[in-house]
Amino acid sequence: MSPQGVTNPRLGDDELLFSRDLDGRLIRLDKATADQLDDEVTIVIDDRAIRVARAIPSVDSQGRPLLDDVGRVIPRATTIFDAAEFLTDAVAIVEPDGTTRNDETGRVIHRRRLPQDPRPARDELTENPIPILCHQPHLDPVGVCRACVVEISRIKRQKRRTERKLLPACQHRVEDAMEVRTIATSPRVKTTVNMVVELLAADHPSPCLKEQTSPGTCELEALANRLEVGVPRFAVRPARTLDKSSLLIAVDHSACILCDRCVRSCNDVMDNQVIGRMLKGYEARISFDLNALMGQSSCVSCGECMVSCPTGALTFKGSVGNDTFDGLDPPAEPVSTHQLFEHLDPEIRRAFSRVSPAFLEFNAGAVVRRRFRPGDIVCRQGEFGATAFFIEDGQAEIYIQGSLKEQPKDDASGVFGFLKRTIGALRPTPQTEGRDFYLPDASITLSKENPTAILEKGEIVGEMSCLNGYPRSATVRAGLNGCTVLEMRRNVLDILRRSRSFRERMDRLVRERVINIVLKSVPLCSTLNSSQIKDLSKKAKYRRFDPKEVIIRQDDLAIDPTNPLADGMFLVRSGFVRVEKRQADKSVDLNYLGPGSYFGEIALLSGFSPTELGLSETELGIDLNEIRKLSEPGRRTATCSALDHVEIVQLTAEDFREVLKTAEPKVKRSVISSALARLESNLLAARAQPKSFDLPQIDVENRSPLLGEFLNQGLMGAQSVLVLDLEKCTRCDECSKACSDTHGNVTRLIREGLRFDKYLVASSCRSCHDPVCLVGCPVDAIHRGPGSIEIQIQDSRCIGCGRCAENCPYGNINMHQLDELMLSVSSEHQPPMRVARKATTCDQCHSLPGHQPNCVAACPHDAAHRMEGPKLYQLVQAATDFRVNSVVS
Amino acid sequence: MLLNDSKNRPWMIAVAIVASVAILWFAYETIHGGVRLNGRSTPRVAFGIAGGLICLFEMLIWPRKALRKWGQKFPIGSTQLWMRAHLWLGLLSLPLLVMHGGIYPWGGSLSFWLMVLFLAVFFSGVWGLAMQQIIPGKMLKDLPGETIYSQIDFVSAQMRIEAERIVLLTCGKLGDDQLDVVTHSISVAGKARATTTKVAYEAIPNSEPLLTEFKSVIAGFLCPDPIFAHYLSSPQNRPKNPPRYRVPFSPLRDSQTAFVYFRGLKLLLDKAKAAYPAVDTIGDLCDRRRQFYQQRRLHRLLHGWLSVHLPLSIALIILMWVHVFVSLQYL
Repeated sequence: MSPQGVTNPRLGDDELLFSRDLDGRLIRLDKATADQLDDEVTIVIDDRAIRVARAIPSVDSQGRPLLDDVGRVIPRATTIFDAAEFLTDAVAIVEPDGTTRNDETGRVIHRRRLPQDPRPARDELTENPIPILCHQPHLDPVGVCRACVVEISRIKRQKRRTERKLLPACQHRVEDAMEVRTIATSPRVKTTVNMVVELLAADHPSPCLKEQTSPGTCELEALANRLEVGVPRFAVRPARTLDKSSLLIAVDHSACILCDRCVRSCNDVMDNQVIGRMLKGYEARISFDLNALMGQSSCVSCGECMVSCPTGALTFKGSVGNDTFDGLDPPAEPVSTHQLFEHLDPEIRRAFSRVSPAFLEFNAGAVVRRRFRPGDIVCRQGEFGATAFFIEDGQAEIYIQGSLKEQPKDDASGVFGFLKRTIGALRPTPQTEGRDFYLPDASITLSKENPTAILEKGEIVGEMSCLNGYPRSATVRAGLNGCTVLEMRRNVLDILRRSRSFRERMDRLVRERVINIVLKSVPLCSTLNSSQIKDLSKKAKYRRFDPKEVIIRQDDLAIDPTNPLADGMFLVRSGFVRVEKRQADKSVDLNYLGPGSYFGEIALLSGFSPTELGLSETELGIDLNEIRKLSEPGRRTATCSALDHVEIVQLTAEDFREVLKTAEPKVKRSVISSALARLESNLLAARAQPKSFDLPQIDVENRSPLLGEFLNQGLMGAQSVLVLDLEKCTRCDECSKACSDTHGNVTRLIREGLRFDKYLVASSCRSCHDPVCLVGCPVDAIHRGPGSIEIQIQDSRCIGCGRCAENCPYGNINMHQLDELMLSVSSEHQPPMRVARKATTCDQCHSLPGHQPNCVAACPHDAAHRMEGPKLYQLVQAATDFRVNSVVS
Repeated sequence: MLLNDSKNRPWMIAVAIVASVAILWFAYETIHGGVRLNGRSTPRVAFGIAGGLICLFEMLIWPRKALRKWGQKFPIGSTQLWMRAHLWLGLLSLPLLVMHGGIYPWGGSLSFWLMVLFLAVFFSGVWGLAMQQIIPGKMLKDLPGETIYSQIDFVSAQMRIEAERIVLLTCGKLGDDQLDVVTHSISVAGKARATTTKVAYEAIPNSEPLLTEFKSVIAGFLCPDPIFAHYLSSPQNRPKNPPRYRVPFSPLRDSQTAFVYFRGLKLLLDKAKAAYPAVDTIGDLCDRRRQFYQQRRLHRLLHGWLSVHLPLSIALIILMWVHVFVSLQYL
C-alpha cells in the first residue's frame, strides 16, 4: 500500500494544497507529522463533540501499522470521516436485548428490516452519518465521488465562518473548533449529496448486474434508495462494453462509476498493479495493464477488485467451492448475507456491517451455522484450527486437558500405545499450585479449582489459532442447553479485521490474553498470585515485530525509563529471535530463541546492584558480581532481532527488579545462574571460530557461519524439512517420481536446494511454525490439516491467484497452469468456478495410510528423511565437528 | 545403498550364518561321500531350489518398483526392506548357486551358459553396489554445483543465455533482438509473468575480444548449439527429448587449461580491465558447466550398470525356467 505522504507527487498542478501523484490521485502536499499524533483537537459533528488526534498511524488493510525505513510509524492526517467514525463508535450503546441506543438521547436507533423490503436494514445512527462511495476505511482517500461532502465552519479572524464550498469528509483534515454538518443536519449538504448520487446513478444501469443477482448489494443503488433519490432526471449514459474474458470476473464498464476502489485494491492492498484508469472525460474508464481485456492481462484473479467494487461493474462469474464444512457433525447450515447483516445479536451485526456483500456471496459457505447439542465438542485442544466461532445462541463451556505445553497425543496405538495410555492414566495429574489456567483462545481466566468457564453469546472464540496457525489451546464444549455458533473461515476474519472497531476489539482481547498467558508461564513470575499477575499484566506491554526488525541493540542502555521501547526484559510468546554480537566490523550469531524463552535479563542484572535486588552477602550476589564483571553494567550484551513474526511481552526494568526482589530464592537462583551461564556461553561462542557447513572443501577465510546460514534459511521454524543425505543418495529420483505418482503426475518437490554439510534441504514444504503462506488467501483455500502440521491447499477452493506462492519465502509453493480448465465443486445454487491455474504444495501425503510422506517411503537407500529444523542443525553440527576433528587430527 | 549402515548389520549376520551353514553342509557331504556330489544329491538340489527362489524374488523388485502406488495402499513392505532383501539375498545366492553347480566344472552347455549368465548378473549388481558406495561421496565432494540430472541441458542453456547477456552488455552489443532472448529466457524459467529487468550497465570500450572468444569457444562449451537451439524453440514445438551430443573438444574441458585460457583472455583484454569481473563470472559459469559434464559421466557410471543388469536378469530367469524344465526330465 502506498500511504498518503509516501508517494512522490508530481508537482506543478494548479491546486494549492493538493496535487496528483503518479497514479493520478489527489493528495495533499502538506504531510502529517509525528508530533500531530499527540496533538488533540476538538471537532463538533452534527452538534456532537469529540476530541481526536490531528494524526493517526497509517495502517495497512489488516490494521498493521506502516513503518518508515528506520522503523517509525508513518502518520496520516485524521480526516473528518475518521472523526465521525470515532464518534459513531463512542455513541453506540448495545443493549443486552439486542437493540442499539444513542447514549445521549436514549433513542432506539436500530431499525429492523421490513419483511417486504429486500434491502438489508441499517443501523441508521450506529453507522457513520457521512455516506461514502469511493472511500473505504482501509483505502487511501481520493475524494473522487463527493458523496461524502460536508459543510464546515471554523474560526477565522476570531469569527466563526462557514466555508463557501462543501468539502469531502474522506479527505479533509480535522481542525480545532471545527464544526461539521452532514446530511443528517444540513439541508444544503443533503441536496448536494442527492444531486451527486443522482448524477452517478444516471451513469449506471439500474438494476445493475450485481443488483439483479442479489438485491440490496449495489452500494450506489442502496445509497440512492436511502437518500430517496428516485429515477435520475438526467440522460442515461450510453451502454459500454461488457468484458467477459476473465474466467472469474465479469467487467461491465456501463456500471462503473470510476470510484477507483478497484484500482486502489489491486495496487495498494494486493500490490498487483494491474488496474488503472485510461482516457478522460466521458471516455474515462478503468483498464487492465495497457488496455488489455481482463482475461488477457496479467490479472491473477484474486477477486479483491470485485469485492471492493460498490456497483455491478466487477462481478464474479462463479463462487468458490463450499464443501469445507461438508460431513461435519452437527451439520453446517448455510447462512445468507442478509442473515448476517440483519443478525439479532448486535455484536455480530456490527462486526459484519462493514463487510462487502460481494465478498460473502463469492465465498458462499465461508460462514456457516452449527447447532451443537449439550456436551458436543465445538473445537478440540491441540488441533490446528482453520476457523473461528461467534457464539450466536446458548452457552459454551471451556476446559483444558493438562498443562498447556503437554498437548494430548492420542495417536499411539497397538500394545505400546495401550501400555502408554495405561501408565499415563495411573500417573497423577500435574499440579499447578496457586495458579490459574489461562486460555489464549478465550477471554476468560480459569481458576485452578474449577477449570471450566462459560462463554456467552456474542463472544468470539478460536480466532487466535485461526489467524496464527498454532494449535488450539483449549477445548470448547456446548453448554447444558447446547449452543449455536457461527463458524467462519480465516478469510472472513481477515475481512472483519478491516473494520477498525472489530480490529480494536480483537487486538485488545489478544493483547490481554497473550500478556496473561506469558506472565503465567514464565518461571520468574511463578510465585506471584493472581492479583499480582493482574497488576503486572496492566504494566506489561505486548509488542509485535516483523522479520528482521531489531528488538534491542547491543550496547544500548537496558534501564532507561525515558526510552520505553528499550527498557526492561522481553518474553517471547511466539516466533524466533536472533541473538548476535558485533565484533570489529562483523556480526557473529550467538544463538536463537524460540517461544517460551526470554532475553534482556543479563543487562538488567548487571545494571542493578545486588543490594537493589536484595541479594547482598549471598552466593547469588557473587554470581551477580560475576555477571557485572563479564559485561558492561546496564548495557545490552548483544543485538536481538526478529527472525520471523515475533510476539513479545515486555516488562519494564523496574517491574523486573520488583518481581525478582520478591521472588523465592530458588527462582532467583534459577534466573541468575541461567543468565550467567548464557553470558559465558555467548562469550565463548563469540570467540570460537565460526564453523563451516561446506566442508570438506575447507576454506577457513571465507567460510560462512553455520548458525547464521541456518537462521537465514528460516530452518529454526521448520517442523518437517525434507532432508537428503547426499552420501547415501544415488540421485535415482525415486522421491520425485513417488511424489509425482501420488499427486496426479505433478511433483511437489524439487531435489535441489541449500546444502548443509552432506545434507541437502530439498525444495518442499517445511510446515513452518509461522506459516506465512496462509496469510491473505482471499478464499482461504490454504490451511493446516485439522490434526496435523501439514499445509493443505484445497483444490476446490483455490482460484490460482498465487498469493500463497508469493508469500512462501522458500519457493515451496508452485503454480501449475492447467491444460483444461478445472471446474470446482459447485452447489445447486452457485455456478461452478473456472480457473486457469492452481497452487500446489507438499501436503506430506496426509491422505495416505501411515502418514509417511511418499518421498521418504519411496527412497530405497535410506537417504530421504523428514525432520524438524533444529534436529537438522544438530546433525550438521555433529557431522561438521567430526570432519573438522578428522582434518585437524 | 551404503553397506556401512547399522541397519544392514542383521542382514549381514544372517546371510553369513546361512552361507556358512550351507558351505559346511556341502563340505561335509562331499568329504563324507568321498566323491563329487552329483546334480541329484540333496544339497545340490536344495541349493538349486533356494537359489532359484532367490532369483525369482530378486526379479520381483522390478514390478514392486513399477507398481509403487500399490505400496501406498497394501502392506507389501517398505522400499528399503525390499532393497535390503534384494541386496543381501542376492549376495547369498552366489555361494548357493555355485555349490548347486558343483563348484566347477558347471556341467553341459545349458548349465554352463546359465552359470555364466548368473555370474554376469551377479557381478553387474556388485559393480552397481560398489558404485553406490563410492560415487555419491565423490559427487558430494567434487560437484557442489550439481543439478538434477535430467535438467542439466536446460540449466546449461540458461547459463549460455546468461553468459551471452553479460558479454553483450559488456561489449555494448545488446540490441532489441537480444533483449527478446533475455525476456524469453525469463519466461521459460517458469515465472508467472515475463518481465524485463533494467540493467544499469555501461559498455566497456575495447572489450570486443570477449565477444569473439565467447562466440568461438565459450558459447559452444556452455551449451552445444543443437541443445541451445532445442531449448530456444517454443515449448509447444519442442521435441520431447533434446538431441544427443558429445562433450565438445575445448580448452575449457579441463580446469587447468581453462585457467590458462581465461588468463590469456584477460591479457587480450588488457585495455579493458573493467571487463575482468565479467570474465570471472563467465569463468564461474564454465566451471559449473564442467561440473555438469563430470556429473553426467558419474551419473552414467552410477546408473549405467542397470542397462546390463536388468536385461541379463530377464535372460537369466528365462534360461532358469528352461534349466528347471530340462532338469526335471532327468528325475
